[in-house]
Amino acid sequence: MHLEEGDAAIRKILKRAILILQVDELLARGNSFEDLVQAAQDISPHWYTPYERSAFRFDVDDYMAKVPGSQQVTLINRFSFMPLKGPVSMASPDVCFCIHLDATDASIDGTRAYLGRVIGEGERGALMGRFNLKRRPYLGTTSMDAELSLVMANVAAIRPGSLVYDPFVGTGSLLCTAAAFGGLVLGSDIDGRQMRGTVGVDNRKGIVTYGTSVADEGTLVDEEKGVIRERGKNCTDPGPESLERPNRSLVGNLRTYGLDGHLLDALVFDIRQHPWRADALPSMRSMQFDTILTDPPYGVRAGAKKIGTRNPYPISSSAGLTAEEKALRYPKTVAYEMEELAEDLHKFAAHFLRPGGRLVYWYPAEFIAEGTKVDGESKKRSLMEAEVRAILPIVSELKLLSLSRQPCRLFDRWLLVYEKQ
Amino acid sequence: MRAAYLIRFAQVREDFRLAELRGICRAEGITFPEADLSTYSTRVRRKLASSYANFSPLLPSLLSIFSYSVHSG
Repeated sequence: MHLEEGDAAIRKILKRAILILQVDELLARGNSFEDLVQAAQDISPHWYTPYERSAFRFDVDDYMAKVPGSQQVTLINRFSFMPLKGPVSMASPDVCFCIHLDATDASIDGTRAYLGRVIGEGERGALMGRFNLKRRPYLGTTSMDAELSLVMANVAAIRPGSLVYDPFVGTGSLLCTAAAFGGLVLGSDIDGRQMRGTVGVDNRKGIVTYGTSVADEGTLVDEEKGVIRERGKNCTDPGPESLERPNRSLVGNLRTYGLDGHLLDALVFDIRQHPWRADALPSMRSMQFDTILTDPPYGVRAGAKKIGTRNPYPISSSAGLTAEEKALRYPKTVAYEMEELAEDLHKFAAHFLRPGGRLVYWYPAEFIAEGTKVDGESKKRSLMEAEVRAILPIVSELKLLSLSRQPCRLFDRWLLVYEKQ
Repeated sequence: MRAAYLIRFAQVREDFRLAELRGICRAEGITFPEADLSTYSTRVRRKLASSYANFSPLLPSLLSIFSYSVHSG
C-alpha cells in the first residue's frame, strides 16, 4: 500500500515551511547503524512495489558525526538487499532514500540511525532569499527580518484571501510575507512618514530617491533631475508619477515582490483612537479581520507613541493660531507603555477578529534581578514561561495558543499566538 | 498499516517549530495530530540542535483529512 495522499499533504506543508528542512517517510530506525540495517530487512516487500523499476538514489545525512564520502558508499551498499531494480540516478531520481545518522547522544547510547524515503525539502532557502532585507528597497530601523516575518505569517495561519491587519505597520515587512501567502493586507501606523518613505539619497545607487517627507510635504522629488519639485501645499500623496516606479515606501516594498495588488490600504492613525466601527452600520457588521499580525515597538530602537499630552488639563493649544496653522498642526504624542499597548491590542483583537481568527505579535519581557550582586549589580535572568503568562493581559475572548521565546541581548521577546473564541 | 514521518527541522527552538507546523496545518486544512504529541521524540526538545521528530501516528490523520477534501470536492 502506498499513500500518495499523505505525500501531497506533506508537500503542501513543505511549500511554505521555513523551519522544516526535509520530510521523509520513515521506513526503519535503529539505535545503531547495524540495528537500522536489521530493521530495514523487515520492510514488507509490498512496500517496494511502486519503486521496483524506478530510478533511485541514496543520500547520507550525518549530524554531529562526519561520515567521509568513501564510507558513505559502504553504508549505502549495506542496503543492497532492497529489491530496487531501476537505475541509479544522482541527478533526477524518481525516488530518493536517505540514511540519517544522528550522533547527538553518541556518548550515551551510540549513533541513532533512520532510513527514510524523501518526500521533499522545504522552501526555506527560496522564500528567505526572496524576502531578504538586503534586497528590499526601503527599510526602517526595526524592519523584521525575512525568516521571522515568514515564520510569523505561517504561525498566523494565513491563507489565500485572509484579511490581515498590522496596526504598527512601519515599513510593511509583515505585510510583504502575509501577502506572499495570499493574504489581503492592511496596515496602519501613528507615524505616516514610515509608510510613505523618505526623501534622501540612495547610497547604493547614488541617486536621489522619491517619496514625501513631513518636512517637505507638498513636494515631490524628481528622480531624473534630482530636485524637489513642487506639487502644491498640503499634498500628502506622492502622486501617480511615483506610483509608476519602484520607490522607497511601504507600497514600493510590496511592489518589489509583485504583491502590491494584495495591499488594501495603509492608513495613518493612533490605534487607541482607531476609526474601525464594526457595528456603525448594518452593512459593516461583518467587518472583521482574519488575522492581526504585528510587531509593536518595544522602546529599544523605536518607542511606541499614542496621541495625548502629559498635562492632564492642557490649555487649548489651538488658541491664537490661524486657520492655516491649525491645519498644519500635528497632535501631541506621549509614550505608549507596552503593558497598556498589549491590553489595548487584546481588546481590539477581541472585538475585531472573526471567531477563529488569530492575533500574533511579539511581546518583550525584560530580565529580572536574581541572586547575589556582582560588582554592585544584581544578576539577571529571563522570565520563565509561567511568569510571562502571568503578566499578559487576559481577555476572555482570546485563547493563548502558544508562546515562543527568542532570547535577545537586552531582553527576551516572546512570539504570542492567540485565537479568538 | 501505520506509517511515520521523519521531519528534519532547522536549528531553532522547538516551540517555534511546533507553532509554525500547527499554523501551516491550520492554513492548509490539515489536522495537526495534537493527541499524538506524546509520541513526539524527546530528542527534539534539545534546544538549538538539529534533530529529528518522529510523528508516528501522523499519517492516518493526514490521510483522513486529505481524503475528505477530495471527496468533498
